[in-house]
Amino acid sequence: MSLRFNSISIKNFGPYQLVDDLSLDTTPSSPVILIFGENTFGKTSLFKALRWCLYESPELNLSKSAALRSLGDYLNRPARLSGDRDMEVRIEFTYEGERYDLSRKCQFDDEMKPTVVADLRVGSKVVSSHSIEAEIGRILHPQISEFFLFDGELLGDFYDKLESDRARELLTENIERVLGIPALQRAKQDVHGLSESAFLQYSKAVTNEMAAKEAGVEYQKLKSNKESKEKDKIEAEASLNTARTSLAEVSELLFSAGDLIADARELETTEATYSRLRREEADLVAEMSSIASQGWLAIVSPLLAARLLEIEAENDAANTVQDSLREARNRAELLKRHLSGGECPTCSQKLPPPQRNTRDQLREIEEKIRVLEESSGSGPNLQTERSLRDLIDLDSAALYREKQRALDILTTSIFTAKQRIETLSGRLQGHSEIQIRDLAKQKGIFEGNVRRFEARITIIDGEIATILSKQKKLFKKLRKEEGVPSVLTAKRDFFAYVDDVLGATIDRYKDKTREEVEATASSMFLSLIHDPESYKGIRIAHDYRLTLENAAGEETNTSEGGRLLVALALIGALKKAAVRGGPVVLDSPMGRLDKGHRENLLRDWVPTLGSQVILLVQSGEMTDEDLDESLAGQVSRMYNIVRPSSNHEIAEIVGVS
Amino acid sequence: MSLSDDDSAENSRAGALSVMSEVARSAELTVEHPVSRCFSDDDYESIIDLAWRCQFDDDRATFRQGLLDLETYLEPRILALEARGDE
Repeated sequence: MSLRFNSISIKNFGPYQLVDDLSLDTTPSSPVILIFGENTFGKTSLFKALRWCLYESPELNLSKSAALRSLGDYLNRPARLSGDRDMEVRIEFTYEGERYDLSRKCQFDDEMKPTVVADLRVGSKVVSSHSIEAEIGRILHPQISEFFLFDGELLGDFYDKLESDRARELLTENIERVLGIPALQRAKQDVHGLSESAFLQYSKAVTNEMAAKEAGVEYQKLKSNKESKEKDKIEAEASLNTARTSLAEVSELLFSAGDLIADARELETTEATYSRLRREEADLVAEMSSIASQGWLAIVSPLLAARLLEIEAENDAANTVQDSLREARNRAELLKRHLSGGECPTCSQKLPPPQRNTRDQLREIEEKIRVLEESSGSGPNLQTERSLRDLIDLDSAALYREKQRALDILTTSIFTAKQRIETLSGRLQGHSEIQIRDLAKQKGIFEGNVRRFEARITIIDGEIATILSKQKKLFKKLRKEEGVPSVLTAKRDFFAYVDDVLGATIDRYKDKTREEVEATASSMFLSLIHDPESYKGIRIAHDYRLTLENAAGEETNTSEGGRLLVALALIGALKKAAVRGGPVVLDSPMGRLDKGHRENLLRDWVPTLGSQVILLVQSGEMTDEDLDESLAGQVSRMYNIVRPSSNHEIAEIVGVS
Repeated sequence: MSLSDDDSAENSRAGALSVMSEVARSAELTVEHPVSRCFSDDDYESIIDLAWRCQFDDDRATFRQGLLDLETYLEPRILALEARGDE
């Protein structure tokens, strides 16, 4: 049996305070487990709990130190607040018929410093803590797990990874590991060693002393030279690994330092802004003080303004009366002239004779004049109005109000700037610019070292290949020597042949596997997309450079969704070709796919993933229709991630019948 | 003997075996190594099985011993070939 998860138990990891023995058992005919959970409910936390338990790190490609530092983020917050600072994940699984029980516990002290302890039992046997990592790596190597335990959100990154040479090299190594190439390579190394021994035995037995001596000396020389080169290679590989590890650590520190550099720059700018704002504030306060002292009456201006408004209204009314009076008097004068046979006061024309009612009109208007004269009083009080206008300092008041508004804005800006300065200062505490510069310098050195060791290994590989070729020529030269016991000849020929056949097998197997992965990935991709007629398929070069070809066989680009499908097709193809399979755990693999692609994925892709597939999905990712049609009969178990209360920091996993 | 009954492992093992059988029949190897005539399909399967069973777990001593045993097993055939003077 290959690796198969039986159950998982979780304590205080992410939102899970207690998940007790959640069964992950599946049957060959129903290999799928569905775990439903809405966004933010804890699907990814469950995925990370699994990864942490297996590989010490909740996230892929996180160094051990970074993973340890990140653990505090995973401790359940309500538990932490109640003083429970123990976090644990336990996985029970079966591998090759043996029952494994792996648990990882983390205890945090008062300062939240984590201490992690792992425990692995195989049946009743306890595995030494030093051997746990190697044992898990043997069962499902962390690099291989990248293909089988993956976060759907990172699928886009998976595709992007193939753009860089270094990442592709790593991927190629991983793919070859998945396919079992290193096992064949180790087998070839061992056979070559046996072949060398057989040849030396043979050469010693050659009766032609001269030929034997020459061949023996030459072969020994080549052998020793090869051993020396292999030793150099091992040393160079060790140095390369050290340089890569150091580079990864420095890069990680610099990544954080990158934030610090940005913080330092922002702090500088914010402090300058703060000083400028404080100066502007002082200037404003001074100006306002001056306005207040020079225009002190501005303080009572509202009262005076109110009185002025009253006077203005009274004067307006008096003016209206005066206007009416003037008009009435003019009318009375006209009527009088009319009666006396005089001329028009405006145009000096002789007026026509009065009408019968002219005298009545004159009486009416004289009455109106009397009423208006009575109501007009002393007329508009223009003197008071002028005095009040003089007293009210409207300009100072407006200016003061304007300055007050500016000061309010300034005070808010000063408060915000001060807060930002405190935050940035806190973040920068304990870091200096010199330290950051040193890190950048170190990174350059390690990058140089990595390049140097890589080049050295390439040269050594070439040298070893040359030695092997010389050994082969020597072997051929001595082949026909007479008088050697047949058994030694048989051994020599047997191992030389197996050595060569293994070498040819590795080369062809790599090529064939790549071709098969290419064909399977292409076929899967075409079955997943809506418009298969638009594409010829996926092409995988010898260095695993991935390209998508259109119907005419030309390289083409694809959308974000298309890139996800390419990544899924490649993962499916690798899984199909893989040596040591295991469960496939997918966190939100269909989150970014539309209904049609989702159906294709569930119907054509999921069944190719093997005998245990755990899908962490949200409701939008899978409908009842998908369940009934695309996954009909394939689901062993279903669970729901639920929140038992309104507290969003606590979740539970419950079975769905 | 197969390493495991896992389908994918079996696929991969069978894939490697099929490649080995294919290259073993190539003219390049059969001309250079007349001893190839002494090998049957079972012998190639034994080599692949040994690699799959031992090399994944880095059990190199068992692998080497297994190969020495295979040589001992095939030795009579190779000697017979040499005796016939076919080489």
